[in-house]
Amino acid sequence: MSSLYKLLSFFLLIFLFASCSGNDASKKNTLVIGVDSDVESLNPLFAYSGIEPTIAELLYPSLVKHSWDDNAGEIKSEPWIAEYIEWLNDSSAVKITLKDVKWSDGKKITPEDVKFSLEIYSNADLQSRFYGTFENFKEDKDLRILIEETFTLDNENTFTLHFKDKAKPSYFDFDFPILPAHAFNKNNPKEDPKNIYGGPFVLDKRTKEQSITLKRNKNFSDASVGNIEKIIFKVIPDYNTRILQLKNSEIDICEDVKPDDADELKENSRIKMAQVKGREYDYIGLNNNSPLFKNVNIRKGISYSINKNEILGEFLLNYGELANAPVAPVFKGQFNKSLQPINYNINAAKSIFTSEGWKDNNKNGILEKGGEEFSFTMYIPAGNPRRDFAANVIKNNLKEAGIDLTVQQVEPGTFFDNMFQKKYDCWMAGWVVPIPTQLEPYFHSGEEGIFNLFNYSNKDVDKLLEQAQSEKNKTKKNELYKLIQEKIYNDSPIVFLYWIDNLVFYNSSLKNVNITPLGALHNCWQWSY
Amino acid sequence: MNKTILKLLLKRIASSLLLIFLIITILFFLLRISPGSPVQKFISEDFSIELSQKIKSNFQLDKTLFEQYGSFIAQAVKLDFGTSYNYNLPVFSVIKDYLIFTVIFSFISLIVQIKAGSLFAFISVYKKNKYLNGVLDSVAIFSFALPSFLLGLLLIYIFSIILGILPSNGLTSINHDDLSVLGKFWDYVIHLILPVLSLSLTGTFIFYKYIKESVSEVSRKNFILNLQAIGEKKSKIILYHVLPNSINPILTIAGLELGALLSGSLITEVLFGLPGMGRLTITAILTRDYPLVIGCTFISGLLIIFANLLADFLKTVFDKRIINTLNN
Repeated sequence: MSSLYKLLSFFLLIFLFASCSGNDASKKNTLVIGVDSDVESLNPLFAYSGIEPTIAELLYPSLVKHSWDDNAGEIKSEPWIAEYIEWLNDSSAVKITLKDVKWSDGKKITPEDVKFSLEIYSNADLQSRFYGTFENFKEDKDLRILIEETFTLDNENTFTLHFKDKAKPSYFDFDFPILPAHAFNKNNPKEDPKNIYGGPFVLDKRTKEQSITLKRNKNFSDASVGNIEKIIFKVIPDYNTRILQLKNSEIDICEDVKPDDADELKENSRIKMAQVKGREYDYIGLNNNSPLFKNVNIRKGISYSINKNEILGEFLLNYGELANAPVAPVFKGQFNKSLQPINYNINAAKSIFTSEGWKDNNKNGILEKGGEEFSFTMYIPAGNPRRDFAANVIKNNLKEAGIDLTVQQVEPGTFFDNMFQKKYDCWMAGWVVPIPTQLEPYFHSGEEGIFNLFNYSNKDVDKLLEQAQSEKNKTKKNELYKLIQEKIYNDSPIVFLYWIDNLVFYNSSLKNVNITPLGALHNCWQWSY
Repeated sequence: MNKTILKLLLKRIASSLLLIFLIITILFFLLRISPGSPVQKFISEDFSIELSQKIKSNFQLDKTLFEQYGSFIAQAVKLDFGTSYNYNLPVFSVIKDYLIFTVIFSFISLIVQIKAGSLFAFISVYKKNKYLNGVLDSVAIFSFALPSFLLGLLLIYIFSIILGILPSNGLTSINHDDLSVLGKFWDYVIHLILPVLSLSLTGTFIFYKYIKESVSEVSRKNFILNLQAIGEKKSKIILYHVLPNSINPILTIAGLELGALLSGSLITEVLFGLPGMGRLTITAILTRDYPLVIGCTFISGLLIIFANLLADFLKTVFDKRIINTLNN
C-alpha cells in the first residue's frame, strides 16, 4: 500500500506546486487572441488563409488603410504609409508619395520596395496569394506585371503606377502589404524573408502549434496606435477549450462564438460581446439547368416551403437575419431594402406546385407529375451542426409541402470538390460576400461567373453586373447593385436562407475596440488597455 | 546476438518494409483517385482562378497518375517524399517537429500506464482487499466506457476551471521564455499532467486487467506455492519468479499500445492543443496534402514496427524459453 501512498503524495505535491506557480501571469499590455489553428507559413507571400493575412497586415504596412463607416455601411479608405495619393485625370495612373517611414532595421521604406512587392506578388513561379489579381495593370501572358511600363520613379519618395488601357482602378488595386526588398533572397524569393518588418508589430517568437508572439515595432509611428505591447496568437484547436479559457481570462478575445454560448458569456462582467452583422449567408443551391429546378416557380415554391425563421430562431437564436438577395444588409448603400424575404408560406408553396402540375394523385403525401414523384437529394458538408439542423428543418418543411427530400452528408473536401465540379443538382453551402462587394463571380453566366455553380443565366443581370463592376460613381454603382438584387430576387436562382452574425467576445478592459465587418482583428493595433 | 534471432529480426524488418512500401503505394493511388482536391483551398473569392491552376501545375497534379507515381517512387527511394502542399516545406522537415513531441509524450504516457497499471494490479492480487478490488474494477469499467474527449473535458473543468491549478491548453505558458531552467521544466510538467492523465487512464486499466490476470495465474502455479511454502521472501518471489513468468502478455500489449501512441493521439492533441502526429496527419488528410499524408503514414508504420520489434526483443530477454524454442 505504501506505493499507492507514494503515488498519491507525488500527485498532491505536483498540484500544490502547480497551484503556486500560476498560469500565464505576465500579461500586462499583452493581447492574447485564441485561434483554432496555427499558421502554415509566416512568409507574407503565402499568407493564404486563417490568421495568416491578419498577421501579414500587422507585420507589413500598406499604402492605404481601411475603416468601416457604419452609418454609410461601406468601407472607407485613406492613405497609410502613402503621404499623398493623386489620381491622374483619366485614372490611367496614380502618383503616390511615401511618408518618411522606416523598416524595423532602420532602413527607409522606399518606392523600390513597392516596385519589388508588385514584381514578387505577380511572379508566376511563386504563386503568391495576390497572383492573378492585378487585372488593372499591364501584364504578360503569365500575368506577371510589366514593371517597366507600370512603375516610374518620380523622385526619392514619389512614384507613379500606370494602369492598362480602359482600366477602372481603385485604392484596392494597390492595397497589399509592402515587402522589404532587402529582406528577400533574390536568388530564391520563395525562401522565408529575414525578420524585417514595417507594420505596427514585429515578429517576436513562434512556437509551432502553440503560439505566435508579435511585439510593438518601435520604428512604427501612427497617431492612432494603441498601448498594446505584445499580441499573442494562442493556438487552441478545441472550441470548448477556447471558451473555457475566455471565461478564465487566459485569452482576451475569441470570435465565431456559437449562439448557444452567447447568453452565458454575456453575463460575465469581464467579457464584452460584439455582434457583428454578417457578410456570410447560407443558401440552398439549385441547378437551374436541371429538369426539376429550371422552372423559376418551382424554385420559389421551394423557398416558400422552408421555414427559415425556425432555423434562425432555434439554432442561431436570432443572431442573424433572413436573406433575400446576395447583398448583406450591412452594406447599407447597396442593400435593396424594398425586397422582402420570402417567408414560410406553405399554402403559397402548395398552390405554386399545383399550378405547375404537381399533384398527390396516389395520396401517399408526395406530389407527382408525369408519373414521377417530387423527390430529390440535397447534399451538405458533414460536421457542420448549423447545416445539419437546417437540413432537418428543411426536410420536414418540404415533406409538409409534398416533397420527398433526402439529405446526404458528404465529407467536406469531397463535398466542395463535387460542388465546384457542378456534380450536384441541390446542395446547401454558404458564401462570404467580399469587400468591396462583388457579385459577378457568383451570378454572371459567362466565364466571369466562376462561382455560378447553379448555372444561373440572365442576360440583363450579366449586363448590369458588368456595368456595376466598371462603374466608378458610387451612387450609380449602388443603384446598379439594387437593380441586380431585384432581378436575382425575382429569378430566385438559389434559395437564400439567412445571414449569420459573427459573435465576438473580448476582455472588457480593452479600449478603443471597434469590431466591424472588416474582421474582428482588423486594426487591433489601435486597441489599448 | 544469437544468429537465429538476428536472422529472424532481419526477416521481420524486410517483410515490414515491404509491407510499408505496399501501403504507401496503395495510399498514393487511393488518395489521388478519391474525391477532393489539394487546390480546393485556393478556390475562393480571395484569390484569382489562375492561382489554383498554377498551383495545380506546380504540384504536378496535371500529369497522369502513372507519371506522378514514377516521380514519387524516384524520389521516395532517396527517402524524399516531396514538398508538403500546406507548408511549402520538405515533408520530413514538417514531420520532425511533431514527431519529437509525439515520441516523448508517448513514452511518458506508456511509462505512466505500465507503472500505475502494475501497481494497481499487484495491490489487487496481493492485498486481497475486496473493497479496494471492487473500486479498482469499477474504475476500470468506467475508464473503458468513458470517451477520452469527455475525460479530457472533465479534467479541464475540475483542474483548470474549478480549482484553477493546471493549464488547460498548450505545452508551455505565455511567459515560458522568462522562466529559469527549472521553471521551464516545471512549466512543461504542469502542462503535460492533464494530457498524460487523459491519455493514460484507459491504458492504465487495460494494463491493470492484463497484469492482474497474468500475475494471478502465475501466482497459483505450483512452483510459486512451493517457494512460498519454503519461506522465500514475498518481494523476491514477485520480482524474480512471478514477474518474468507473467510478462509476455504485458509486453505484447505494451508493444501494441506504444505503436498506437506513436501514431498520434488525435483527441488528446486537439483537446489540449498539443503539437503531435495525430493532428498533423488528420489536417493533412482533410486538406488533401498528399505528400504529407504519405510521409506521416510511412513514419507511423516505421514506429509501429519499431514498437513491436522492441516488445518482441524484450520478450526474448525476459523469457529464455523463446530463444530455446527458436533454436530448436
